[in-house]
Amino acid sequence: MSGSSVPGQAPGGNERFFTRQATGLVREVSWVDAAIYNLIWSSVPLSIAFILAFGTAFYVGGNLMIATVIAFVLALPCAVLYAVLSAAVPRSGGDYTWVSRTLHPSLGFASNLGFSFWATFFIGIYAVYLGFYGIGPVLRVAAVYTGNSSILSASDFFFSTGGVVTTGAVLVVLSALVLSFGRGLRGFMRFQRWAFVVWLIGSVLLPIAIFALADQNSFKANFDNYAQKLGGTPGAYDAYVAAGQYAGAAMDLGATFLTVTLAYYTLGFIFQSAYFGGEIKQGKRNTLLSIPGAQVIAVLMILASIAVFLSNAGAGLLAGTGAQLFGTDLSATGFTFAPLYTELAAIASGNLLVGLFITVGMLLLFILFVPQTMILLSRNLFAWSFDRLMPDRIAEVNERTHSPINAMIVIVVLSLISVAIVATNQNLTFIVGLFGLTVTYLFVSVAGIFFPYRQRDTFEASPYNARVGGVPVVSIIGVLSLIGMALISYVLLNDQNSGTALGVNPERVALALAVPTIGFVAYFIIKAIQKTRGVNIDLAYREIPPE
Amino acid sequence: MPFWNRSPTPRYSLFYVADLHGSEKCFRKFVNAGKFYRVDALILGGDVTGKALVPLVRLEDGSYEARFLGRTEIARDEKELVTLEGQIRFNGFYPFRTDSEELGQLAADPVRREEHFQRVISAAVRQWVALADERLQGTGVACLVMPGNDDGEFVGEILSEGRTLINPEGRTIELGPYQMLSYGWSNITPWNSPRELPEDQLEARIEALTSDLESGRPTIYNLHVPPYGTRIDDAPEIREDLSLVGGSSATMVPVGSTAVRRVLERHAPMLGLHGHIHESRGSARLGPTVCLNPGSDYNTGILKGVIVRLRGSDVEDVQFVAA
Repeated sequence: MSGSSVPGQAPGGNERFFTRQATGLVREVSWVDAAIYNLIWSSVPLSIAFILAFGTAFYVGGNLMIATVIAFVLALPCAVLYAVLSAAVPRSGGDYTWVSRTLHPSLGFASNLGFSFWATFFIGIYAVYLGFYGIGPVLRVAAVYTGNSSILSASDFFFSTGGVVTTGAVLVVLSALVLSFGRGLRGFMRFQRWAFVVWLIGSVLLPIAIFALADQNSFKANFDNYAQKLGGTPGAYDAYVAAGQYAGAAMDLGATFLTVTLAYYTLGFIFQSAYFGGEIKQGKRNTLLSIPGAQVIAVLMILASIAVFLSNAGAGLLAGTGAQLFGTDLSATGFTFAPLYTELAAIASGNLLVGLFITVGMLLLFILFVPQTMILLSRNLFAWSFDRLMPDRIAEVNERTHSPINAMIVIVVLSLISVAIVATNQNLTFIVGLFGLTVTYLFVSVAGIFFPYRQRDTFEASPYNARVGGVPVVSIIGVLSLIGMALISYVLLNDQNSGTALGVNPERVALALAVPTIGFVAYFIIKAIQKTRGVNIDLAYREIPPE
Repeated sequence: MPFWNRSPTPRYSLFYVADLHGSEKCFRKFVNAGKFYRVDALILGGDVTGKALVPLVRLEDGSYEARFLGRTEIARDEKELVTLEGQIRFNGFYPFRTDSEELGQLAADPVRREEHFQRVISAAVRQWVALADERLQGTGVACLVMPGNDDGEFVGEILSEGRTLINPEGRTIELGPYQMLSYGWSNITPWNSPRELPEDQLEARIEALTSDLESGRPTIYNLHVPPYGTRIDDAPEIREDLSLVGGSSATMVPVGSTAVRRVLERHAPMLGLHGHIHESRGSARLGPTVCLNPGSDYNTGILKGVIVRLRGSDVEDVQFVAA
């Protein structure tokens, strides 16, 4: 062992220790890397797309900028709580571990089953969107700028139900195949880093830059010209404005509060790095920058997009696209499917390569999301299997492919069912799943409140063991998170467009509540079954007294 | 197993953990696990010692200062100092009291630093051996603790001083109706840890140990490093400077031992117990061999382990726990 130790400095830059050469001591993931990971999963471009389209079309009196800021304020405590808990309990399975260990394993399973159910639903959503919002627009831009009508015909296929089901199913199966082989998984991880750069520049920064410089009149001319090349009648821009019926009503605080739904879609889901802890616990600065910090970056991107698109693309046009997305027939304009803000930016650019770069950026979002979420789901299945809540065969690694084939088969089957359901139920919009996911956050918030009391040693040894007036700061953050998520739940249950409005879609609200309830009950049924086999599943999380 | 199908062959159960890396809380839980899980044997499969020393530096006013986990902690009296030392140990680090002069000398002199490391680690391991001897004596629970690749040779020597705690490394021992072979060295890692060997030498050493095994008896291989390419050996890919490739979207690559894999495939024991890769908790099958890696979260005070129930030559049940 001689000569093998080194003076330690960092993480966080405020450390003083000596390390010896021992396996596993890798440099901490930088906050930038972690923030990138969080931004990828949170789908900022999709949030921008729906704020611009649906916010203008359906949220009369709702101020999009203020609603975005409110969504940020309400979601921030939950993001901070994830940052705190991931620093205190790194690399331990996120909500499943926190809730199981702090409250009860049955509640942990209830929470995580709900999260997994809705994550599977979102796989279906994104797989279906690949055709609508991913491949279709890329081909349409290519067709218009090259004048190739066969490309245009091909693009129509990806806007059809058959097209989206086919592309969705192919994406799911291909993702599973890639993830099932070590080499494929490594390739995906490398692809992901480059794809993020195209995603960020193409679908966020370039559109903002283009519309910051664009003039509405010249854009209108470009738009009409583009529509005519799609075979549409003249005056497409005005047709959209007419269909959108954007009233430009004065701001209404109540309506603005309900508009929070749209920005929450992104701002509530920036925490995936919580599942990637380091061996030496991360410093405060790192986790705070990577989770709430990423939230700040996302909020700035959304606000900038709202500002430039409302003023220079025109709220009326955007409202028209929202109306078309919800069934208004505007195919006479040449657009058989509504253009998103990215395609509008491609139109404003007037350039084939720029247009393709922008629309490919959006396409990559869908391609990245599906395998990323499959990885997350496979982790959950593994965790349940290890805890004997699922058959241990699910976590078995295939000897030949060295991969968890059984887990992947389960995920593929459920994902394909999700694709079929979403593709054939157009009213099942992306936001339907938000309430279900929010229920998991309510569990995590309560776990955060009790964490310092139920996991006293872990809390005291964590970087976040401060108290204010004798009350642990973590518990205060938990309370704020609970309030934030309760208010978000109120919005989702009262916003007529959320898909989970209590007065409009009570069956969906019931489903969102039923899934964790089923998980809670199932835990005790599984426990009884395992007991007959001589296995006590409570042991999986029962702490051995150290004294 | 339902009562109507109970086999006359008695069940033998063991609790296996690895990679505690100096976490006192985890070791105390490990020692208490025999009674808690009602198992016949406790096995700690390597990497017993911690990785870092945290100095508590005496300030002019007599208080002590420590900087870790991104914060500066001040202990003003002995009680606060003991609490702070406990928090440092909880995270798998070794606290030591010093002054700024000695701290400067340790920072500048690697030889002196190593001596200090060894002194601190030796004292901690001796305490653990004494604790296990005291708690487990007369309980009938076997306690086997082996050094891993991160533990210097002196650690094995201290573990061998135990009376109830046994260091099984480098030999075949009887474990109830089973025989168990143990070896804690690993293949070469980027960290140049104290006990690493090239694959061919590692294979030769493990192979040599198999000559003591009684043919035809069910056998357990307690090998710290997992077999290559089994997913229980996946770790984040790193560069030469030990930084992560790809940041948080790190690429997981197999880093287990090809030697261990070949040995397991050749001898086909009923069970392979492995650690080393903290991130890859799980089980894998290599022919008839069930290979297990319980993973490790030592720095959270959570003891990750696996309860294995054996009956005859079958692995009847495997249950992962996080205690």
